[in-house]
Amino acid sequence: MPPLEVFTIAGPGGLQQSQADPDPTGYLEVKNTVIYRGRLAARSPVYESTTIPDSAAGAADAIVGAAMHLNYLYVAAYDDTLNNVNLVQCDIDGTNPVHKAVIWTTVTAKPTAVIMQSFTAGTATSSEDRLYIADFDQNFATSYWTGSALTVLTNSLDLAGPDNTVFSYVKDYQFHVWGTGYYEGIILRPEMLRFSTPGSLPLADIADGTDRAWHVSDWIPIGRRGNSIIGLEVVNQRLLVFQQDALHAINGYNRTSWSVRNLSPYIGAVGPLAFDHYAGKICFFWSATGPMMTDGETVTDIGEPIREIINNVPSDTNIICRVDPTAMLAYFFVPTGAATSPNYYYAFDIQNKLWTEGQFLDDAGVAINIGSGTRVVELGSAAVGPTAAPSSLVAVVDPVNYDTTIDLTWVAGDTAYNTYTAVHRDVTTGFTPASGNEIGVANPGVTEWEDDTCDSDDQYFYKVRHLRNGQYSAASNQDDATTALARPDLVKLSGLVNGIKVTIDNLVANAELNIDRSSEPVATWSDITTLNNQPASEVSHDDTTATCATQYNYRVRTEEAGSTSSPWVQAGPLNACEGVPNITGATYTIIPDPVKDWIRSVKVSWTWNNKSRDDRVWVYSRSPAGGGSYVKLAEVSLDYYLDSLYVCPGPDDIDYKLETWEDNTTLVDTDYVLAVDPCLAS
Amino acid sequence: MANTRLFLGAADTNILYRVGQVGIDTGNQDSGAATYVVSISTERQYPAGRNALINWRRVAVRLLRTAPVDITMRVYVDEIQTQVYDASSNLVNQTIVFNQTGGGECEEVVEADIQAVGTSIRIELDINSNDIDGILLLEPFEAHGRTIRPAKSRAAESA
Repeated sequence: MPPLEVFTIAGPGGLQQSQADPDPTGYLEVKNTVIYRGRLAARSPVYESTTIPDSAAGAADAIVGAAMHLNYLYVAAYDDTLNNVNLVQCDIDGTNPVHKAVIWTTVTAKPTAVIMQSFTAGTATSSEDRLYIADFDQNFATSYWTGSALTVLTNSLDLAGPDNTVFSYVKDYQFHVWGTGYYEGIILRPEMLRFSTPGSLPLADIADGTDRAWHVSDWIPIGRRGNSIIGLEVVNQRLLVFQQDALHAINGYNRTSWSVRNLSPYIGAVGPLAFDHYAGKICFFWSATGPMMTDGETVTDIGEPIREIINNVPSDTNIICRVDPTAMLAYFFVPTGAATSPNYYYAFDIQNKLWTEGQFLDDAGVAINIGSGTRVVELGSAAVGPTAAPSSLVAVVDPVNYDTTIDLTWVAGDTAYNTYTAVHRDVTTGFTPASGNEIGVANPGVTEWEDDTCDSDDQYFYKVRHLRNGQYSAASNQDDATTALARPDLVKLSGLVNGIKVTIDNLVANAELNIDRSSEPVATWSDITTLNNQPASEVSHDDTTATCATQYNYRVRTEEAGSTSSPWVQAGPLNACEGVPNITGATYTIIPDPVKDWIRSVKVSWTWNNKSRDDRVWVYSRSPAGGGSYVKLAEVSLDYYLDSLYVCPGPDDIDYKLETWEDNTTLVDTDYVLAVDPCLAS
Repeated sequence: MANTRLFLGAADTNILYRVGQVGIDTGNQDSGAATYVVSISTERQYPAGRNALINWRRVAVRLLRTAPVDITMRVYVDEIQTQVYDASSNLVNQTIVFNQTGGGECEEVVEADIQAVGTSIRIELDINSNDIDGILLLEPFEAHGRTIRPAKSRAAESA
């Protein structure tokens, strides 16, 4: 039967709907996975970060905008009972929400999107950090938050007076504030793109010499008149201007250098949140013909592998694109089924150009309807430490080596791939975990530790801490265990003419040594004696109650009042009444080669009694005889040793030494065969 | 170091969500107690050709993991799920469950016996998020079998 053939049928890849003959990197379905470290990974989840309050400290009804500003995460939240849109400040980790202001009142319908842009403006002598806030639907005036107050943005195109400005989108580009879809009073120019002075400083307007941040002539018409600008993005130092059916890019540094280039007269973004950038280099966006990307020069269709899916996604203005730079994923959130908000995502792996899909679920397992999204970047922050401490630490003595080993188990509080667990040990209860009492570190995913470095008959206290990116978590609970008395280091049996000698290397001073015996094979142990108050040294017991010619096993353990008895140490089997091996006579024979007489061997022979299975004779030699040191030749269980071939004429005379070793462990006898001349005539 | 987080706001509640980071938060569940399902289905592959016949005997998945994980696998030969006899000697659809235990980062190959004759093969995997305690990376899938009949091919016609 030939061996099985091996066919690779799938590799790390993504959704693939556009190949007649799919290759092994394509999948029919890859749901809730992402490409990570070159392989398919179960994707990470979403966490509920916080809940956003309304102006009456109740719960807001929808989150319609979010942006990072001055190391805070700002959220725009709509309340359909109070009919207002609120500005809420959160810490950069998305926690600790604080209501800051009501942005707009009398808001009777949830805004499509609230666009926010951080910018540093002010005057020539003092700066002011502002968070510009625009209503994409252009129902309410654009404002900016200064950290303490909201100010309505006003300027005028006709010099008739300061009118409220109603942008649909605001963006920072080359230190200018850019506003789209200019609307002032009854004048609506959705294709108009206005820009402020550099730094939004009030400077003399050439129209009338009045200091203004928004000059009358500082605007650019984009595309066809009346065609709304959907949004703005910046990649590769270009300002991308999205319309629903066109895409433009602006280059330049100031009003005298702006130049507009039409990147695509057909492809645009479907909505104000349908685009996002990766590292300022690539912009991903969802167009009426599906997902695209652009570097500000060319537009590339990235949706070909999922064309069938794309054809079933409506060109909905609510589609959201948000890039997770850490995972290098561009998420496209789209509505599915009856949902009017995005509740399903297609994720584009930026590095591998592969698609996966999935859903984020809420507490009840229902897909989250997503209304907005943003990224925050915390600069100079420390690496992430353990998110929680381990718990439920349990310490028990090892069931086998309970005189030296204690086994620990715990429940991990942080299961991240780079979370280790440090094990701490002390002999004092309530100790503080520190590097001095850290005895080891368990690998990620491991929730057990075997401490085999314990002394016997000692109580040990343990705590464990998670260790991640060099940071420790709080300690777990403390638990302790006490080891048993030390077991005898060695138990050895040797023959007696009337029984068996049990020799024990006792390690515990003043201990009791309990000796059990069982015939071979081991079945039932019988307690034959207990040796009381023994020294911590070699101890022996002559068992003369054994039946001669019967094989026995022995086991010994240490006992002491108030302590746990040691594990048993077993030895045997050995025949009773075997006695100690000894050589009763030794001689030699010179053996010439039958053909070549000048080649000789020396056969050293001996007789010995009380020989048991493991007894050995160690054979040594030295030459010349009477001088130098003996060199060990062999350990022999027979009654002769054939020394190697010698070529005559001579070596010198040879001395042989024979040592008798009981069980090959204890020297009991030494004999000599001296001055052998292998070249003597035989 | 710079630490980038992606936040999502709910369209119909006041909840602000943080998107977990792959490899760091992987293995945890979605917000609250919800469980998501990782579903993977390979393309139908015809490794010996479109009209070849193969006796499929084994499938193997190589995976890297840092913690215990339970994986459910189904195999389809010519789009028909492989079958196996149950304890009552009834022929039932074959569902293979791998319960990988033990911690620490390790790479393993999990294999399953199948018995089916056909041309194409496809593998489906399901993994519940609450059955993953750490990071799980899936690597190439393999199918093992013997080609009974290679794909037919017509000799080129000579001029």
